[in-house]
Amino acid sequence: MKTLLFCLVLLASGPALAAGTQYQLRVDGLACPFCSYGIEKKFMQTPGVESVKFDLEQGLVIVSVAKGIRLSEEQLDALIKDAGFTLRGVRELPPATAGGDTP
Amino acid sequence: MNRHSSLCLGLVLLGFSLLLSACGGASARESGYEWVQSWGGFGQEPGQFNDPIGIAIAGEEVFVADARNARIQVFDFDGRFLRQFGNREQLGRPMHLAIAQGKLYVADYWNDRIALFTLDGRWQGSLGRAGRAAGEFSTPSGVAVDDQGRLYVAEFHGQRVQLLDPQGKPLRQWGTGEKGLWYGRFNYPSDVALDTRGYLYVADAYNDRIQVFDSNGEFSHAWGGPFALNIAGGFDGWFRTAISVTVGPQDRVYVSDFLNHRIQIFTPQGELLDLFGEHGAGDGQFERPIDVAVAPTGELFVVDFGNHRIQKWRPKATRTGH
Repeated sequence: MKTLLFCLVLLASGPALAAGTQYQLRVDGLACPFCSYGIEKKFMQTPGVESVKFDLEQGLVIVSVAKGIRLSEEQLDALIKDAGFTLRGVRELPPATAGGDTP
Repeated sequence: MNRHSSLCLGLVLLGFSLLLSACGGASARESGYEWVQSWGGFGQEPGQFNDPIGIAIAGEEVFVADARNARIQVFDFDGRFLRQFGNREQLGRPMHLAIAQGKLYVADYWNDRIALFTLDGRWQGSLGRAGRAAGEFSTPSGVAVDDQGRLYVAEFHGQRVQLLDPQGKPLRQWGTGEKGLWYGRFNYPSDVALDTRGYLYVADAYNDRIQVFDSNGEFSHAWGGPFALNIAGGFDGWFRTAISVTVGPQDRVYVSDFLNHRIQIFTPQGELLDLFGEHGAGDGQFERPIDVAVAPTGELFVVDFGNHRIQKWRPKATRTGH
């Protein structure tokens, strides 16, 4: 029984334990879905990227990567540039604090 | 007028245009259209949307691309849900739509291809693949089909419009593949439409203009702000991101003026006929309208992207009901 409970707890906490770094990117002009989809598409084609969320009002892109994966500012800049935008700033967030709406 | 005077006048006009652009501007004209009803709302259930984008009409049915739900939903003219089709293997992010010869053509932004369905939802395969070569696509965003079944495809990141035969063989392209300001080049083109003469209309979204090419494919004219050269604003006939173009009865041209939260209606030459819409979430208000379909009776169905709903409008004079 104890083993079963432990397994259930482990299962429930799995995503938190496995969470990796999150990057908060400041990008201008994100109102249009063609734009945000383009950014999302570029990042989701990048190994290790698990999710991309947007806070359109704040002009933020929040990229979550798998544990152990790191993206350099140069990589982030190149991905944003590839999608047709200019990266205005990068902030690394602790895994649990990032929010954002999906546009 | 000598060259120096012309240059001075040009600079003065440009400065004035930029000043007007900075000031914005709003229309005080009364529209000939009235709001009828809205339907939808955010969600995954039938009749709800998560990023509705494209819209098209066949018979008395309205087809809507429900982008983040990766499906097509079909409604009657009163907003009653009829059916849905498409799954995540067939559709990534369905964008603008076209209906021709009994088929639905879907620009699939995510899978870099044009997906084909029968109107009752049976998968008919796809055309194209990811790439920058002729016949390949880089984020296709809009599609139009002529009476020979040839496809005109706008590529948002590809910065071009391609013409393909019905089997997907490339025939020609407009734009160089690089972003550009001058006529014949594009800055993230998002949609295409054809009129009864075979003229091609391109929503050149981030140049804030509509570009028109004649039936031989030659540049004909453009409109949107002074000189149609990427000066955005809120004045009548100007755009803040011209995100869709639709040609309706009498070759009237309907443009979703995305960040001005309104629909503008033009003659094929670009003369403004009407406009309606304001920013908000109430009846008749828009949060970034993104596409328009026109019924043969003149009713308009507008995709209200940010409010995740469809709005139906009708000409005030006709007041025809369904």
